[in-house]
Amino acid sequence: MGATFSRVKTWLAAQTLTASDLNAEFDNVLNNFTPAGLDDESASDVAMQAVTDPYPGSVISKPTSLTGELQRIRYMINQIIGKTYWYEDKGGSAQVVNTTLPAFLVTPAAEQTNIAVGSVVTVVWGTEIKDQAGNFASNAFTAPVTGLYHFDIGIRLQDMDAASGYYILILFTSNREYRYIYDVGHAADFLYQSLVLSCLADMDAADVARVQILQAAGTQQTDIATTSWFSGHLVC
Amino acid sequence: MNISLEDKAILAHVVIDPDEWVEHALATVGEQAVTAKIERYRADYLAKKDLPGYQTRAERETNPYQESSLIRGKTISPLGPE
Repeated sequence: MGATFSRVKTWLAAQTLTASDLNAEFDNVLNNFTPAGLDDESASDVAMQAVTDPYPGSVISKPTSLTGELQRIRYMINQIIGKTYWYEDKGGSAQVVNTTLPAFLVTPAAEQTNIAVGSVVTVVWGTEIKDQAGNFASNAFTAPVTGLYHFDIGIRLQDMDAASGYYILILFTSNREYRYIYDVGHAADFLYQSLVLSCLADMDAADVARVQILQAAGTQQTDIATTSWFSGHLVC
Repeated sequence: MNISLEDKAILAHVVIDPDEWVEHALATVGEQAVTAKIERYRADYLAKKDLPGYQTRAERETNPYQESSLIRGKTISPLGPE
């Protein structure tokens, strides 16, 4: 059955069809063939949960029926709301948590002591507080898709050398670098200084982002504290 | 994946080490990432490659922190160090 409304008359053999009968039947169809008149509802929970990926393997999958169209829309709703089923409510809250958006927060697992002098040092991030979508590995974030990514870096340096002249905090990305320079204006060595950097980075899919630091000169004595952090997420 | 010399030159226009970038891209995202990046920067590369003094990104950044060394000698412009 494809409709929720009934025929006007059930005909018997040898009955005479009049113009009035014919018009009445056509009017019945024309007046009731609306979304409410279509028998397209899910017959069960399983049918209501059925989804179809509209873009498997980055190839469009076109539906061949209205049911197929609805299944593809359900699939995308699941992606957006981050729930198992498209109809699950959010407990009365208007907030939607995107659990598939690339995002990460990492910190050092241990102090990185006596960083090299005169060459760029990659900061080691041994603790992943959060790595949503799993794009952080080997001290670097890899962009899964092309877009704009926001990054925040906070590096706490300890036992800094006044003879260094300057330190540079670098966010290296495949397309360009973002730098923060700290000009050491101290006559004597000093205990600690935080260097922070934020930026909106233009990245292509497979580009990497990693944090580096340069101590320009002086003695190899500066440490990177475990209270440092590196975070980032896809913006758009 | 076969990459032509021109495609490699396009990547060198943007990234410091094209070979390293391609290897990482194939290991993480796939060939489509390599193709997309090449196509994204092809026009910019073609517009600039024949200009006098053209340099790849690696050539442009042979010594990226040299500018900072000059800062110590106070030879920078009054606009600021970076």
